[in-house]
Amino acid sequence: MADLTSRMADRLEPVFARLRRTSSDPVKSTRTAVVIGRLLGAAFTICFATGVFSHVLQDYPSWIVLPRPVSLYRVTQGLHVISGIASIPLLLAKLWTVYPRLFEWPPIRSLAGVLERLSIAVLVTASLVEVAIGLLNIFQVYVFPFPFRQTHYALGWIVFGSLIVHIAVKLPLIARYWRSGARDRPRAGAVVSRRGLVGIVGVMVGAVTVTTAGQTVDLLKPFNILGPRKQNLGPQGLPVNKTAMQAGVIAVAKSPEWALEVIAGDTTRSFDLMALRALPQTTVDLPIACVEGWSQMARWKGVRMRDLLEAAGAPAESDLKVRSLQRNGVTSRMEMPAGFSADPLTLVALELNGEVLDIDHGYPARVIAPGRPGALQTKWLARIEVVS
Amino acid sequence: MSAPRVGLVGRVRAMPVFAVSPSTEPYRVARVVLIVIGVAIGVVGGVILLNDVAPKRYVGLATWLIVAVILHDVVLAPVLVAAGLAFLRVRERLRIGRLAATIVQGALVVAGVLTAIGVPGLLANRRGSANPTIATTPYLLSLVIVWGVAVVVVAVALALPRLIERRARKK
Repeated sequence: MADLTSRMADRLEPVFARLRRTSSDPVKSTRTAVVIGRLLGAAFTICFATGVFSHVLQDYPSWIVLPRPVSLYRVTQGLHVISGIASIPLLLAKLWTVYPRLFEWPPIRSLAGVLERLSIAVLVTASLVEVAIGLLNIFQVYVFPFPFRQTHYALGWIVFGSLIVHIAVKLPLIARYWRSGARDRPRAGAVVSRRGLVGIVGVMVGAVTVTTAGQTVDLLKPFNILGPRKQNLGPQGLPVNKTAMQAGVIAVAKSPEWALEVIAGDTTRSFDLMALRALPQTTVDLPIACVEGWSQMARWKGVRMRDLLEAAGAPAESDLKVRSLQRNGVTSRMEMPAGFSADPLTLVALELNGEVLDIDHGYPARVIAPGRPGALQTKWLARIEVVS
Repeated sequence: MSAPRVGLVGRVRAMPVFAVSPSTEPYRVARVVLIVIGVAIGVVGGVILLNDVAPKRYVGLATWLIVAVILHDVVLAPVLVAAGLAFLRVRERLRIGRLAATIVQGALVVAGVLTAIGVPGLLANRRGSANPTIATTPYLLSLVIVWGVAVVVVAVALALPRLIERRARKK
């Protein structure tokens, strides 16, 4: 046995040495790994923080009541997708830089070394899958055999956890190469120097950002040639996450029998469209900000939630349970804490950009509130229940 | 009796638990704290995975995780290494200057990474969607434009130094 493994080791060692030599390049230095690693670490940290924020907002809507600034979620989720896409060239550049280290010999030196390589394996593979499914999800291309939302969330924690372990393991190296020092050779490199490489990585990050971020950043609209969404494209000049057809609500939403039920304690009041239009109408400018990273400002007109609640005999400040005509799915029901129900900007909207709501935007009535994810801006309203 | 230090098994047996004891290195406290935090965060991810993803999905997820690392380490990375070596040869033969080489390599990898992030769009174009507001861009056309720009940049980076050189020689 010892003989066999010894012979195997003797055979493998020169192979590894050759692979290491072939893939090496003076530009693939520790300093380069630190420079690119810092940028990737920053991108992953933004992704993780904004991602957890988004999940908490959607899963525990009563924990955080932050109606101002109204574009808070627009910014955090826009950043999530922008930094996620930016991390793709950063991740590839980082892996390109450290690839020769895959062929280190001996492959393991100590128990700590085994654990270190294991943590790197987890970090690399989870990162690759995380950015890949994130990108596929914003195009709603579901080619993977597992649920997106849960897997992306779990992998996000695993990526960030293994990133922190990786930073801990490499901390002395990171500290030594944090600044360009005496050992640094910024001009070394077979084809490009380190400065050239960092420049190229910068242009890659810029290119992927400029060609996709126009779906949420107004200034970059003209360059949006690779993003999944386009601002101003959709019914009434606004994109749609899920159409009425997809939600299966066309018949019930267009029914003349439709009325919005408001339940407060023992009393239930019904408001049909005429009754809603007879209540005081308010116009607000609020963004619609989707978890998929696109967002756009729009002008909404309708009844303030607080006015509707008072008309139904309930206090303006009430915790609410909101139901859509849509039967299933995460967007079919929503909870709204009192902090939002009393907000003068929270509407039961009947109009969008000066027209009666398009069926795809939630006709006959939808919720629009400041600072909340699009999934909580319930469309095709059926019922509002006061729970406090 | 100590284990023989030959063969992989022997070497593993002879390994110390820590090759370099972390307690002797700088940042000892910071490293231990970070490892504890990192492992804790990873465990949260594991718990979410076990709780929220049905066990029948694990095989599919494991397949994706393994295939991802194989696609990178066995396909993409060697191809990039080979492309780099080939470019090195071309660069020496055509005597391309450092700046021009950087611009050429930059143009190619930027177009490459834009192509990579364009793949889901291409898939979305092919599959179509019941939602008329998603993937409305013809991404193939976008990528043709991207590669067109890259080719122009490469051509200019290669031709311009020669042109300037020739002018200088004429004078």
